[in-house]
Amino acid sequence: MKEIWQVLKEQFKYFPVMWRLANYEKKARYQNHVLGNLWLFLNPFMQVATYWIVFGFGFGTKSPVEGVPYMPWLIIGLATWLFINTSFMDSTWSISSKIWEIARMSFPMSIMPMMRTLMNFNAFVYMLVIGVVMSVFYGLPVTVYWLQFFYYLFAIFVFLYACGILNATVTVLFQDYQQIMQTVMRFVFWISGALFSISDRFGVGHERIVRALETNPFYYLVSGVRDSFFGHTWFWENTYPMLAFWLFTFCVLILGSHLHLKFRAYFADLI
Amino acid sequence: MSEERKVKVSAKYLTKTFDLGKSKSEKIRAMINPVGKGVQKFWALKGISFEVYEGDVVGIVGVNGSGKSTLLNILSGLLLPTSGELTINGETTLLAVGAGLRAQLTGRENIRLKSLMMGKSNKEIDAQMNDIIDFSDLGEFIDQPVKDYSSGMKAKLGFSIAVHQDPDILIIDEALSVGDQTFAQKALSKMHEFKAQGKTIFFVSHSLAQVREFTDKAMWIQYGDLKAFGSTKEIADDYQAWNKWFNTLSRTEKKAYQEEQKEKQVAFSEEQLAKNIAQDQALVDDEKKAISQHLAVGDAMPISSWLLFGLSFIGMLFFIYQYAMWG
Repeated sequence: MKEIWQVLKEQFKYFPVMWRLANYEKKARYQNHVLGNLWLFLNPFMQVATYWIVFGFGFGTKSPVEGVPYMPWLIIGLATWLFINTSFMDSTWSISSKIWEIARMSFPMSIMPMMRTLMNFNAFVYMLVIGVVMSVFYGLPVTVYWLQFFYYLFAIFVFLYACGILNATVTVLFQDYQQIMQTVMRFVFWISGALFSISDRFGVGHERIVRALETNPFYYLVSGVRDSFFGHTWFWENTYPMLAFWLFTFCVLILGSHLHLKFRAYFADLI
Repeated sequence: MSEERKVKVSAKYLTKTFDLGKSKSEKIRAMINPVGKGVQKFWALKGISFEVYEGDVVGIVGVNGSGKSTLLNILSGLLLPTSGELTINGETTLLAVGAGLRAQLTGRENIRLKSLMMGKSNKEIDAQMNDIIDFSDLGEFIDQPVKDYSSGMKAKLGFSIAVHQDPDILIIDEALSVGDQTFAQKALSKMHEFKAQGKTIFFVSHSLAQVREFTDKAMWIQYGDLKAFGSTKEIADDYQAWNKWFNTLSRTEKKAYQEEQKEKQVAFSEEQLAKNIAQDQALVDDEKKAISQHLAVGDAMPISSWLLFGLSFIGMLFFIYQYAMWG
């Protein structure tokens, strides 16, 4: 517990540094590209277009929400997934690839994973806003349930923070971890519910399998963000998945903080 | 006089070992269990001790591979010593040729990035920007990407950024040997300014002339040992004499000598270190024990954390089961 607290304290203490660095890196990222920051939008929208054509037209996937077409439903889910997936994968190399640059600096290395998350946050918000505005255009009513979005946003950040610390540390110790995670995340994508509702695909008779698949933390977050806009229940009514999600995050956090503090003085030796 | 001056850096029997020919998993295992059966180690530093006061400008000399860089990396906080005690009072800034400069970014952008990493706010950086650019003598090149810079230009930029971060302890690793004469003069006057402010500077250079000019104390590091530490004049003369002697040797003799020294660095052991420490009169017994021990990797996870981890994990499985089975 002490270790979680220590790493967490560093995040808050160095938040200004993290914030300024994230802003700077964001600017520098597409600097040498002709289209510059436009890539921030082009990339996700090409993905949306692809999935929309393949699933919306090709497989005739419908959004499970009455009155809302597939497109805005897809955008909101995919925005959440892309934000989580990109930040999750970025965190794996956030320390190992920059060690020579950051090891001698006057901030702890533990802020690097979170810095990556902050960098991806803008693109997520823009895409989400587009999805929501589209849905409202198609007649989605604005309800008090929308407030839940802030709970799920909080959950996303805690989850990415916990995984980030663990991912960044383990990658330094064990390089293959990054490749493994890449493979795992490719699979997780299909059960994250970003493209289609899992229960519709499996149909009647497989409820238990579907529910077991739906307890994965990525599905919890992606469907959670969707539910805040389309749903009519509160997040605490979804009790068991909520508890499973937070316990999982807590386990990752204990492990991540511990390993990080244990090995961080040796990071330079290990790379 | 020396009683009034504060100690800035104090090292006691600092060692650093590198594991020879081991995979990373073996390295990690060796870290967790340092007393496990010995795989061959190379002692880059064999227990060196020194005290450096505020206002000292210390030159570090020695042949290639003598442990200078290892020492600097430890002082700058990049590497952790294997054993021994290191106390640093203040913030250190390391300056090596091109260290931490990003090739695709322009000089100006690199200044901002580095300053941000040192914890400065954008306002503070804006206020400093012109000073740094002026000092660097780069002129219009400041808006060119660093990848187009010559090594001298990189060194100038790096030096300008580093001295404007207001470091307590500045470590200069070969960074001035590539600059031109005018810039070296400018750097020298800046270093004198720092000295007057009571800052401490470590200065590594292969150019003995520069060491003589810039520093007033010197360390001679030879194959992992601190061979001598004293006034620059004495040390530089001794070092020069040694170099002269070494150069009189034939090539095979030189090689044999180097091999012999390297072998000593492999053959050195913890027992040897403990013996050296035990003979030291200036240390108290408690201290001796602490210094000769291997620095342990952080604590093992406490039982309470394991318990919490286990409970959370089981709880998670239970809730997944509940949900999957009954909804």
